[in-house]
Amino acid sequence: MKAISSALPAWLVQRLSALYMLLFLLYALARWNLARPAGYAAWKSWVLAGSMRLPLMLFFAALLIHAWVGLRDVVFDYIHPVPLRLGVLALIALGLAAVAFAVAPVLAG
Amino acid sequence: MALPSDTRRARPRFLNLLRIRYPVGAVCSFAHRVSGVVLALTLPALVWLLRLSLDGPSGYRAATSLMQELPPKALAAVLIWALAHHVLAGVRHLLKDIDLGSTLAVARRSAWSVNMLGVLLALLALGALW
Repeated sequence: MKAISSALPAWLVQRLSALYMLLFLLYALARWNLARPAGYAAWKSWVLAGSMRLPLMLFFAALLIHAWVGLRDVVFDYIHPVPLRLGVLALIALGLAAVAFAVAPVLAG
Repeated sequence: MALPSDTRRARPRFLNLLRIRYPVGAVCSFAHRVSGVVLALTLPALVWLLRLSLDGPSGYRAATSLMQELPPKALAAVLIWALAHHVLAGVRHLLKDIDLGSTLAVARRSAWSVNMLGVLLALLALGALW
């Protein structure tokens, strides 16, 4: 996260990830309306189809980065004592890392 | 555009949410934040639900029957509001970046539309869920 935010300014990271997620949502909605999966097998192949897996991985990557930048900004605005601020930021980072670890095996699946 | 330093110092600078006024653009912007935080806080639960739904036919059944319950449906309606508002307000933000709709009159109209559309989409989702 640090490497990304020092290479690109945070506001640009936020906009690029937002644009990607917007395109992904439109794509996913269109795909959903084309064939609504009914039942486990259809749902699984809808999520893990070749035309979905990579876009979905990128979506989660964009989502985690976007959530980090956004939550970080909220923390900077409202939490001023430095130790508390660092503690909350660490909790957020841990939570987002846990989400990444939870979602990775499903998409690799 | 450097302001005279005394003007800058005189400008009130606080983020006390109870003391600032809320024109329509501020409501849109504040709700953008709130919806973002709501979406981020529920992300772990949503990922858990996704995992459950992909965890074999029994997991899929558990996930779909969970979504028949009242509290998850109510939460889903809140999340659809949050997502709709966050995306629409985000698009409004991006359009302002390229100088579309940054005049006050247009900005007020678009803020009003975003606020209303978010609620409308949530109501439509409620209708679809029940």
